[in-house]
Amino acid sequence: MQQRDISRAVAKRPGATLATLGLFLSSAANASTLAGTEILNVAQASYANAEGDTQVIMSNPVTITVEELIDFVVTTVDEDQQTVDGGDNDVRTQLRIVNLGNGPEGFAITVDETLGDDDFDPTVTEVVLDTNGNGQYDPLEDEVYRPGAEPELNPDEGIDIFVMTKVPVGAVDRERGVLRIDVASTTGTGERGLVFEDAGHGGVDAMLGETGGQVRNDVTLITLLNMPVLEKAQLIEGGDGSGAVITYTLTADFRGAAAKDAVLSDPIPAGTTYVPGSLALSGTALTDFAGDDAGAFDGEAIAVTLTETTIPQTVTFQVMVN
Amino acid sequence: MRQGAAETMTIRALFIAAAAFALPFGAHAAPVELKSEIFVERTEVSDSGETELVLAPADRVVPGDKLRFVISFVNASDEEAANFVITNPVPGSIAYLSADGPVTPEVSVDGEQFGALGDLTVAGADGSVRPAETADVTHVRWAFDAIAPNSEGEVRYLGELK
Repeated sequence: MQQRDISRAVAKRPGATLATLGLFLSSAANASTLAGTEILNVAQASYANAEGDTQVIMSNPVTITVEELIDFVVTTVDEDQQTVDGGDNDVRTQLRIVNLGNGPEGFAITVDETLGDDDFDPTVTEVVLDTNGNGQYDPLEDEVYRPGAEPELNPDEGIDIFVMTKVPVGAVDRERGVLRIDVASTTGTGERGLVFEDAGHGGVDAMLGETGGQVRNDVTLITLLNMPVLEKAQLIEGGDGSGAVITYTLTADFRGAAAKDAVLSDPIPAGTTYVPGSLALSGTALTDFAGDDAGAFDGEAIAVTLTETTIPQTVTFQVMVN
Repeated sequence: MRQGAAETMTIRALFIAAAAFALPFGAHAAPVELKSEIFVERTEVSDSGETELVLAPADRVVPGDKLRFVISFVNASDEEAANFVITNPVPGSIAYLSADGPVTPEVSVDGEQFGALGDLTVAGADGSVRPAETADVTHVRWAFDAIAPNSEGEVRYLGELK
């Protein structure tokens, strides 16, 4: 973390102009008429006069100038819900801004992590722009967003942003923390149709489109503490000296995930002897031989390949105290 | 900063305005004249809660607006204007939608051949031919047999600002 921050400080170019941003063109290019375009209409008529001569006349030219429409979308690149671990200090939420308007527009980003109706408040460490435009977070190349140097997008251009957060250490399983991410036109916000005179591209008026110059995304971080949990319990029968039999029960819980090719192995404790044929997986007996089923005892340790399931599984075996 | 569409003109008011402009023409020497105007169609909700279409001066337009082009004509002479044909090239930023007038409008997708839209075709780059659509229209025209002496009228077409 420390090293990354230093690297970025070096890579950051304070004087970088907007033109250096690696923007991409939206695939949904709508080819809106650019703000400032003049539309000229002239009609023509021809007719024959009383002498039979053809006359051609033109109307007056009418010109109107296209004003700027501020319109854009902001969407989450992944899901509106993200699973995180408690204490995770490198949570990344990726969103995409696309300028659907007909003029260049700047976009201010604010994140509110202190909403009241969730379980925890993530800590926003920074917002990073996908400066190189590759859709990936590149700490050495992508620049940190700073108010006052908002990304500016031409019509149909888009840029990804990464909201970086930390999850509090104390968060427990299945808790929710909501990030409210607002993206606003730097020209202004308000009701649809609101006009900012002379504030558009080239001095034309700017008018707020459908979104009113602001788009809000609420992204929910959900703690899913999916670190596998392995518990071991023992039951001693027949006294506590030589000849006593200890039954070990190992419970593997992958916390809602299905682990593939997970192998649970456990060496036989010193001073004990494995009880042949005592191995079982979730109540089903296994042989001690390798290769014929999921379990084996190799003379020193038991090993069981767990089933790929979200249900907690138990492995049991017995040893006798020497 | 102020709300758009501050000044509006109803369709009825437009017709009054169109009729009124005949007066200056009458004082003019030119026997036949054309006048082109552009209005923007806006949907407004009246005090009674009804939605109504309002024509406003096109002094502030943005992509998606529907523009109504009105071409008025006046024959201020004592002579008939025969084979009177009004032709209006559709500006490049306008997607043609419809037209109307005292005579049936004709459209063109190349500026040369005119007719009903359904009778026109468009050739693709690969040589294939498809029926023309409104988006293909480049010109609209109205062909009158004649315009009577001392008469006037108007034709209209509607387009969307791309």
